[in-house]
Amino acid sequence: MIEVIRKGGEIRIVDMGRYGYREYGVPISGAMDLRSAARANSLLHNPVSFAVLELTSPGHELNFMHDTTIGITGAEGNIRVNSNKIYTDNVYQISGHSRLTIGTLSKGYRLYIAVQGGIKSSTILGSQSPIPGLLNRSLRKGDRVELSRSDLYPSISSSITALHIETKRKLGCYPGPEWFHLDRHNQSALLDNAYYIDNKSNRMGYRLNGIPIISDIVEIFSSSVMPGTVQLLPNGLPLILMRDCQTTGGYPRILQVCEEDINQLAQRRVGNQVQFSLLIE
Amino acid sequence: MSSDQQGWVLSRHGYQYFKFGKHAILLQWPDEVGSDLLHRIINVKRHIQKEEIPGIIEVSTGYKSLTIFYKPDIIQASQVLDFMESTDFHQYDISKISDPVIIDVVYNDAHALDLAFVAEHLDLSVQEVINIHTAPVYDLYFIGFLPGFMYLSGLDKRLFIPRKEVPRIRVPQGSVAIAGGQTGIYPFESPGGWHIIGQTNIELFNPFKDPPCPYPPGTKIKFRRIHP
Repeated sequence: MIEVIRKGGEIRIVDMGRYGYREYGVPISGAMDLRSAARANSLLHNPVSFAVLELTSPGHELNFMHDTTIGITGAEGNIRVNSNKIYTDNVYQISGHSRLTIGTLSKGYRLYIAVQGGIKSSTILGSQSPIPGLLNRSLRKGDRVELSRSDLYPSISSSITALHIETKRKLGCYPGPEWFHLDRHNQSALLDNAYYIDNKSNRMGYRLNGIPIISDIVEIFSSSVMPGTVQLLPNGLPLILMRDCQTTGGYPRILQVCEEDINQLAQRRVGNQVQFSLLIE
Repeated sequence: MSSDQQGWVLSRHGYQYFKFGKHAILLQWPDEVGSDLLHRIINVKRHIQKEEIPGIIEVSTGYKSLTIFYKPDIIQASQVLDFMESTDFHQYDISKISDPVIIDVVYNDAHALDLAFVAEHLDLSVQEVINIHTAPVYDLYFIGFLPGFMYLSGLDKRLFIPRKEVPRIRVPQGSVAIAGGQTGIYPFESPGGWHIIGQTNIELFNPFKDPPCPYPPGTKIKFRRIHP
């Protein structure tokens, strides 16, 4: 078992998400940085679908109660097992009664810890990730995470490479369904502007600050949205939907961030810069 | 494809389609929102689901749209589109009139936090608001916003009212509400900006059931007043 001794930001049990229930309004959820979550499992030759721990922002302390092996990915910083510094994108054997602490982060915002054999928790509608607003299981101080000690899972070859976190990289986007509702001037303004992540951002969406677009584009009949959809809010600023986003929305969908760069964005924090670039096919 | 609608293509089936990122294809109809369009959309959805095409994960719908989500490592967008263009979407027998589902609602002060305000704002009596709300048969268009939140058609224009200026932090589970020309039921406690006019104890979302929602899009729904 792993016990939460101290919490900085959130600690969650997450996996690759919940598919097949969008028609019932159920968000996909899953890890914010899917690539790093999958990488953590693949370092241990776990199936990538195994649940992992997602630790957001610094200030966490976990007590590993038994011997186990972990794969750690995502953010980099002052991470220690007892007093020994450990490094992101590596595998470590942890002996029972060890403390893992996460101090300041030098790069990125979310860490992923996979455990050999996986994490035991209830599977609801095909996923171990929380359902936003309903089963909102962010772990609390004193919570214990049960580990699955099974060695029965076949080893799979690790083919997922680590996410190279680039905090300033422009987010690659495809045009969204309502991109053409913007005139050329506004389209280029949106691609030229630099935006900054607002403090009201969360797992459902990242709000941005910056120069608003002045346009007369209007709401649409509610239609599908998904992680990475960039909506233009009535205040003229973009909102980037993230993993816990609702399934339908009425704001114009101007861009769609490519899957890879949703992971990049998940590693940015309040105040970090966001710029969009159009991917040409 | 016209140059001012970048990326949208007209299908022979009358809808336009759009490659929405690398995992989804969006279909959108030019028709007016209404029962006819709802049944056409559901018909297309059933055709796709019935085929069980490997790589197509799921299909979801909106007022006048349908989205096909697929895995690009299993099926390409062009293959999905080929299937769509070559399919004959003959009508299923879904247009037949089905009996509406009856949802019992308590419209009284303790459970209808905004009923008096709504009546006053709309210059109606409380009884008139209740009568108007229980009169129509509503179409369930689609589920969104929250898990199990049903988008219903057919609210009487006399009940059109803007959202609350300040949303409630906690709207109780089962609240029957109106706003922005729509009516709906909160499937579980959540923040919300609609006016609460009644309360039902019907379960609209249960994550421990599969499917988690009792009524699929296309269901006809009628509200019935009960007294607690």
